[in-house]
Amino acid sequence: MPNLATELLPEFFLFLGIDFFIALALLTCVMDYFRRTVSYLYEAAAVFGYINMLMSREFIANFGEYMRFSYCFLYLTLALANVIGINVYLMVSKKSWGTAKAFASCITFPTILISAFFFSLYGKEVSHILTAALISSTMALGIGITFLVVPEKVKEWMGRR
Amino acid sequence: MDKRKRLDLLVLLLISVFVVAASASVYNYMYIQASPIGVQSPYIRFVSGNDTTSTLGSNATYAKITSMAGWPNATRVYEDALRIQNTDTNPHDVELMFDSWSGQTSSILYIYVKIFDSVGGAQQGSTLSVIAQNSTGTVTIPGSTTYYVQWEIRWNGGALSSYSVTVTLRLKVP
Repeated sequence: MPNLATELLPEFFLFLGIDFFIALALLTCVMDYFRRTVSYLYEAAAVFGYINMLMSREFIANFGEYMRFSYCFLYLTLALANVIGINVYLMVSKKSWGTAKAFASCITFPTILISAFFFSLYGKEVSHILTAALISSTMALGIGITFLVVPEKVKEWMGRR
Repeated sequence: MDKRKRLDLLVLLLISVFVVAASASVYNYMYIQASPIGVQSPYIRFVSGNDTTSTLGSNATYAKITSMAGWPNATRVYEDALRIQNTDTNPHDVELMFDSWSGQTSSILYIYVKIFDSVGGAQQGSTLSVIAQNSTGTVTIPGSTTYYVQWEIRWNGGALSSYSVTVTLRLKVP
Protein backbone atom coordinates (compact mmCIF):
# COMPACT_ATOMS: atom_id res chain seq x y z
CA MET A 1 0.00 0.00 0.00
CA PRO A 2 1.45 3.43 -0.83
CA ASN A 3 2.33 5.64 2.07
CA LEU A 4 -0.90 7.63 2.29
CA ALA A 5 -0.58 8.43 5.92
CA THR A 6 0.70 11.84 6.74
CA GLU A 7 0.88 12.81 10.35
CA LEU A 8 -2.47 14.26 11.29
CA LEU A 9 -2.67 17.04 13.81
CA PRO A 10 -5.31 16.77 16.57
CA GLU A 11 -6.95 19.86 15.02
CA PHE A 12 -7.97 17.72 12.07
CA PHE A 13 -10.81 16.37 14.24
CA LEU A 14 -11.86 19.94 14.85
CA PHE A 15 -11.87 20.53 11.11
CA LEU A 16 -13.91 17.38 10.59
CA GLY A 17 -16.37 18.50 13.28
CA ILE A 18 -16.75 21.90 11.60
CA ASP A 19 -17.56 20.16 8.32
CA PHE A 20 -20.17 17.96 9.98
CA PHE A 21 -21.83 20.94 11.67
CA ILE A 22 -21.92 22.80 8.36
CA ALA A 23 -23.45 19.77 6.65
CA LEU A 24 -26.06 19.62 9.44
CA ALA A 25 -26.82 23.34 9.09
CA LEU A 26 -27.43 22.98 5.36
CA LEU A 27 -29.40 19.75 5.70
CA THR A 28 -31.66 21.07 8.44
CA CYS A 29 -32.27 24.17 6.33
CA VAL A 30 -33.49 22.22 3.32
CA MET A 31 -35.45 19.61 5.26
CA ASP A 32 -38.95 20.62 6.33
CA TYR A 33 -38.83 19.06 9.78
CA PHE A 34 -36.79 21.71 11.52
CA ARG A 35 -37.24 25.25 12.66
CA ARG A 36 -35.26 28.02 11.05
CA THR A 37 -33.14 28.66 14.13
CA VAL A 38 -31.79 25.09 14.16
CA SER A 39 -29.79 25.67 10.99
CA TYR A 40 -28.33 28.89 12.37
CA LEU A 41 -27.46 27.16 15.63
CA TYR A 42 -25.48 24.53 13.73
CA GLU A 43 -23.80 27.24 11.69
CA ALA A 44 -22.90 28.99 14.96
CA ALA A 45 -21.45 25.71 16.23
CA ALA A 46 -19.28 25.57 13.10
CA VAL A 47 -18.12 29.14 13.67
CA PHE A 48 -17.36 28.19 17.28
CA GLY A 49 -15.20 25.35 15.94
CA TYR A 50 -13.32 27.82 13.77
CA ILE A 51 -12.70 30.10 16.79
CA ASN A 52 -11.52 27.01 18.66
CA MET A 53 -9.05 26.28 15.87
CA LEU A 54 -7.74 29.85 15.96
CA MET A 55 -7.21 29.57 19.70
CA SER A 56 -5.49 26.25 19.23
CA ARG A 57 -3.11 27.89 16.79
CA GLU A 58 -2.36 30.78 19.14
CA PHE A 59 -1.65 28.53 22.11
CA ILE A 60 0.00 25.65 20.25
CA ALA A 61 3.20 26.11 22.22
CA ASN A 62 1.39 26.04 25.59
CA PHE A 63 -1.10 23.26 25.00
CA GLY A 64 0.22 19.74 25.02
CA GLU A 65 -0.80 17.31 22.30
CA TYR A 66 -2.98 15.36 24.74
CA MET A 67 -4.95 18.47 25.66
CA ARG A 68 -5.32 19.52 22.03
CA PHE A 69 -6.51 16.06 21.11
CA SER A 70 -8.98 16.06 24.02
CA TYR A 71 -10.85 19.23 23.08
CA CYS A 72 -10.71 18.55 19.34
CA PHE A 73 -12.04 15.05 19.78
CA LEU A 74 -14.74 16.34 22.13
CA TYR A 75 -15.86 18.76 19.44
CA LEU A 76 -16.01 16.00 16.84
CA THR A 77 -17.93 13.81 19.27
CA LEU A 78 -20.43 16.65 19.74
CA ALA A 79 -20.86 16.94 15.98
CA LEU A 80 -21.37 13.19 15.66
CA ALA A 81 -23.82 13.21 18.58
CA ASN A 82 -25.82 15.87 16.75
CA VAL A 83 -25.86 13.81 13.55
CA ILE A 84 -27.17 10.83 15.53
CA GLY A 85 -29.53 13.13 17.43
CA ILE A 86 -31.08 14.41 14.20
CA ASN A 87 -31.49 10.82 13.10
CA VAL A 88 -33.22 9.85 16.33
CA TYR A 89 -35.40 12.99 16.17
CA LEU A 90 -36.57 12.10 12.69
CA MET A 91 -37.31 8.56 13.78
CA VAL A 92 -38.89 9.11 17.19
CA SER A 93 -40.43 12.59 17.24
CA LYS A 94 -41.36 12.99 13.60
CA LYS A 95 -42.03 9.29 13.03
CA SER A 96 -40.64 9.73 9.56
CA TRP A 97 -39.23 6.23 9.19
CA GLY A 98 -38.33 6.53 5.55
CA THR A 99 -36.36 9.74 5.97
CA ALA A 100 -34.75 8.42 9.18
CA LYS A 101 -33.60 5.28 7.39
CA ALA A 102 -32.27 7.25 4.46
CA PHE A 103 -30.55 9.67 6.85
CA ALA A 104 -29.01 6.81 8.82
CA SER A 105 -27.62 5.02 5.80
CA CYS A 106 -26.60 8.08 3.81
CA ILE A 107 -25.48 10.55 6.48
CA THR A 108 -25.07 9.02 9.95
CA PHE A 109 -23.27 5.83 8.94
CA PRO A 110 -20.82 7.52 6.50
CA THR A 111 -19.95 10.30 8.95
CA ILE A 112 -19.23 7.78 11.72
CA LEU A 113 -17.16 5.70 9.32
CA ILE A 114 -15.21 8.74 8.08
CA SER A 115 -14.50 9.74 11.68
CA ALA A 116 -13.42 6.19 12.54
CA PHE A 117 -11.11 6.13 9.52
CA PHE A 118 -9.35 9.37 10.46
CA PHE A 119 -9.19 8.30 14.07
CA SER A 120 -7.41 5.11 13.03
CA LEU A 121 -5.16 7.16 10.73
CA TYR A 122 -4.29 9.38 13.68
CA GLY A 123 -3.47 6.27 15.70
CA LYS A 124 -1.42 4.98 12.72
CA GLU A 125 -3.46 1.81 12.37
CA VAL A 126 -4.95 2.05 8.90
CA SER A 127 -6.73 -1.06 7.70
CA HIS A 128 -7.56 -1.85 4.08
CA ILE A 129 -11.15 -2.76 4.96
CA LEU A 130 -11.66 0.60 6.62
CA THR A 131 -10.20 2.38 3.59
CA ALA A 132 -12.56 0.51 1.24
CA ALA A 133 -15.46 1.21 3.59
CA LEU A 134 -14.51 4.88 3.65
CA ILE A 135 -14.57 5.16 -0.14
CA SER A 136 -17.96 3.46 -0.40
CA SER A 137 -19.42 5.48 2.47
CA THR A 138 -18.18 8.73 0.93
CA MET A 139 -20.01 7.79 -2.24
CA ALA A 140 -23.11 6.97 -0.19
CA LEU A 141 -22.77 10.33 1.56
CA GLY A 142 -22.67 12.18 -1.75
CA ILE A 143 -25.67 10.31 -3.13
CA GLY A 144 -27.49 10.67 0.19
CA ILE A 145 -27.05 14.43 0.35
CA THR A 146 -28.35 14.70 -3.21
CA PHE A 147 -31.44 12.68 -2.30
CA LEU A 148 -32.14 14.60 0.88
CA VAL A 149 -31.40 18.07 -0.43
CA VAL A 150 -33.17 17.95 -3.76
CA PRO A 151 -35.65 15.07 -3.58
CA GLU A 152 -38.03 16.68 -6.08
CA LYS A 153 -35.29 17.08 -8.64
CA VAL A 154 -34.15 13.48 -8.15
CA LYS A 155 -37.73 12.21 -8.49
CA GLU A 156 -38.17 14.34 -11.57
CA TRP A 157 -34.95 12.98 -13.04
CA MET A 158 -35.85 9.41 -12.21
CA GLY A 159 -39.35 9.91 -13.61
CA ARG A 160 -37.94 11.17 -16.87
CA ARG A 161 -35.86 8.00 -17.19
CA MET B 1 -38.76 25.61 -1.54
CA ASP B 2 -40.06 29.06 -0.63
CA LYS B 3 -38.18 32.32 -1.13
CA ARG B 4 -37.28 32.75 2.54
CA LYS B 5 -35.80 29.28 2.74
CA ARG B 6 -33.76 29.91 -0.36
CA LEU B 7 -32.43 33.09 1.17
CA ASP B 8 -31.56 31.22 4.39
CA LEU B 9 -29.78 28.57 2.40
CA LEU B 10 -27.80 31.19 0.51
CA VAL B 11 -26.75 32.91 3.76
CA LEU B 12 -25.79 29.58 5.34
CA LEU B 13 -23.87 28.56 2.24
CA LEU B 14 -21.90 31.79 2.23
CA ILE B 15 -21.02 31.44 5.92
CA SER B 16 -20.14 27.78 5.34
CA VAL B 17 -17.77 28.58 2.50
CA PHE B 18 -16.04 31.20 4.62
CA VAL B 19 -15.77 28.97 7.71
CA VAL B 20 -14.46 25.94 5.79
CA ALA B 21 -11.93 27.96 3.80
CA ALA B 22 -10.71 29.83 6.87
CA SER B 23 -10.46 26.63 8.94
CA ALA B 24 -8.54 24.87 6.18
CA SER B 25 -6.19 27.82 5.95
CA VAL B 26 -5.60 27.82 9.73
CA TYR B 27 -5.06 24.06 9.72
CA ASN B 28 -2.56 24.36 6.88
CA TYR B 29 -0.71 27.09 8.76
CA MET B 30 -0.67 24.94 11.89
CA TYR B 31 0.65 22.03 9.90
CA ILE B 32 3.66 24.08 8.97
CA GLN B 33 4.00 25.56 12.43
CA ALA B 34 3.82 22.17 14.11
CA SER B 35 7.34 21.28 13.04
CA PRO B 36 9.57 23.13 15.48
CA ILE B 37 13.26 23.01 14.66
CA GLY B 38 14.97 22.28 17.94
CA VAL B 39 18.54 21.77 18.99
CA GLN B 40 19.81 18.26 19.50
CA SER B 41 23.15 17.35 20.96
CA PRO B 42 25.20 15.78 18.16
CA TYR B 43 25.75 12.05 18.45
CA ILE B 44 28.51 12.00 15.85
CA ARG B 45 31.65 13.89 16.74
CA PHE B 46 35.26 14.17 15.64
CA VAL B 47 38.14 13.05 17.81
CA SER B 48 41.77 13.96 17.15
CA GLY B 49 43.92 11.16 15.76
CA ASN B 50 47.40 10.20 16.92
CA ASP B 51 49.16 10.75 13.59
CA THR B 52 48.25 14.41 13.07
CA THR B 53 47.60 17.63 14.91
CA SER B 54 44.01 18.75 14.64
CA THR B 55 41.84 21.52 16.01
CA LEU B 56 38.28 20.70 16.92
CA GLY B 57 35.42 23.17 16.87
CA SER B 58 32.77 23.49 19.56
CA ASN B 59 30.83 20.25 20.12
CA ALA B 60 33.57 18.58 18.03
CA THR B 61 31.43 18.86 14.93
CA TYR B 62 34.23 20.56 13.01
CA ALA B 63 37.83 19.43 12.69
CA LYS B 64 40.85 21.02 11.06
CA ILE B 65 43.94 18.91 10.45
CA THR B 66 46.99 21.16 10.33
CA SER B 67 50.03 18.93 10.22
CA MET B 68 49.75 16.72 7.15
CA ALA B 69 52.28 16.74 4.33
CA GLY B 70 52.83 14.43 1.39
CA TRP B 71 55.95 13.28 -0.43
CA PRO B 72 56.73 13.81 -4.12
CA ASN B 73 56.45 10.54 -6.02
CA ALA B 74 55.82 8.48 -2.90
CA THR B 75 52.70 7.75 -0.89
CA ARG B 76 52.46 9.05 2.63
CA VAL B 77 49.81 7.39 4.76
CA TYR B 78 48.26 8.84 7.92
CA GLU B 79 46.44 5.88 9.35
CA ASP B 80 45.01 7.73 12.33
CA ALA B 81 44.58 11.25 10.94
CA LEU B 82 41.20 11.79 12.57
CA ARG B 83 38.52 9.75 14.24
CA ILE B 84 34.74 9.77 13.91
CA GLN B 85 32.96 8.78 17.06
CA ASN B 86 29.35 7.70 17.54
CA THR B 87 28.48 8.66 21.10
CA ASP B 88 24.95 7.29 20.83
CA THR B 89 24.07 3.72 21.80
CA ASN B 90 22.27 3.26 18.46
CA PRO B 91 24.11 2.86 15.16
CA HIS B 92 24.18 5.87 12.83
CA ASP B 93 24.98 6.37 9.16
CA VAL B 94 27.65 8.82 8.07
CA GLU B 95 29.05 9.75 4.70
CA LEU B 96 32.31 11.57 4.13
CA MET B 97 32.00 13.72 1.03
CA PHE B 98 34.25 15.96 -0.99
CA ASP B 99 33.40 19.65 -0.66
CA SER B 100 36.16 21.75 -2.22
CA TRP B 101 39.90 22.07 -2.61
CA SER B 102 42.38 24.78 -3.55
CA GLY B 103 46.11 25.45 -3.95
CA GLN B 104 48.51 23.63 -6.32
CA THR B 105 45.92 20.96 -7.05
CA SER B 106 47.45 20.10 -10.43
CA SER B 107 50.57 18.81 -8.68
CA ILE B 108 48.68 16.27 -6.61
CA LEU B 109 48.79 12.74 -7.97
CA TYR B 110 46.16 11.56 -5.53
CA ILE B 111 44.70 12.07 -2.11
CA TYR B 112 42.65 9.17 -0.87
CA VAL B 113 40.54 9.29 2.27
CA LYS B 114 39.33 6.01 3.76
CA ILE B 115 37.39 5.04 6.86
CA PHE B 116 38.55 2.06 8.92
CA ASP B 117 37.00 0.33 11.91
CA SER B 118 40.41 0.30 13.59
CA VAL B 119 43.95 1.34 12.72
CA GLY B 120 45.02 -1.17 10.08
CA GLY B 121 41.60 -2.85 10.31
CA ALA B 122 38.85 -3.34 7.77
CA GLN B 123 37.91 -0.49 5.44
CA GLN B 124 34.33 0.77 5.76
CA GLY B 125 32.60 2.12 2.68
CA SER B 126 34.53 3.03 -0.46
CA THR B 127 37.56 5.21 -1.03
CA LEU B 128 37.05 8.95 -1.27
CA SER B 129 39.27 10.34 -4.00
CA VAL B 130 39.82 14.07 -3.73
CA ILE B 131 40.69 14.27 -7.44
CA ALA B 132 37.54 12.35 -8.42
CA GLN B 133 35.58 14.45 -5.90
CA ASN B 134 33.46 11.53 -4.75
CA SER B 135 32.45 10.19 -1.34
CA THR B 136 32.97 7.19 0.90
CA GLY B 137 29.35 6.18 0.50
CA THR B 138 27.22 5.49 3.54
CA VAL B 139 29.11 4.01 6.46
CA THR B 140 27.21 2.75 9.49
CA ILE B 141 28.98 3.35 12.75
CA PRO B 142 27.70 1.03 15.48
CA GLY B 143 26.67 2.52 18.80
CA SER B 144 29.46 3.80 21.09
CA THR B 145 32.10 3.10 18.44
CA THR B 146 34.94 5.11 16.95
CA TYR B 147 36.04 4.80 13.34
CA TYR B 148 39.38 5.98 11.98
CA VAL B 149 39.94 8.23 8.99
CA GLN B 150 43.01 7.43 6.95
CA TRP B 151 44.61 9.86 4.48
CA GLU B 152 46.93 8.76 1.65
CA ILE B 153 48.75 11.61 -0.07
CA ARG B 154 51.02 11.54 -3.09
CA TRP B 155 52.44 14.57 -4.89
CA ASN B 156 53.81 14.55 -8.40
CA GLY B 157 57.56 14.11 -8.78
CA GLY B 158 58.05 17.75 -9.66
CA ALA B 159 56.21 19.17 -6.66
CA LEU B 160 58.14 21.83 -4.73
CA SER B 161 58.28 22.10 -0.97
CA SER B 162 56.49 25.44 -1.19
CA TYR B 163 53.40 23.78 -2.69
CA SER B 164 50.32 23.10 -0.64
CA VAL B 165 46.69 22.29 -1.08
CA THR B 166 43.71 22.79 1.19
CA VAL B 167 41.01 20.15 1.11
CA THR B 168 37.57 20.56 2.66
CA LEU B 169 35.40 17.53 3.24
CA ARG B 170 31.88 17.26 4.58
CA LEU B 171 30.56 14.63 6.93
CA LYS B 172 26.93 13.94 6.18
CA VAL B 173 24.98 12.68 9.17
CA PRO B 174 21.31 12.01 8.30
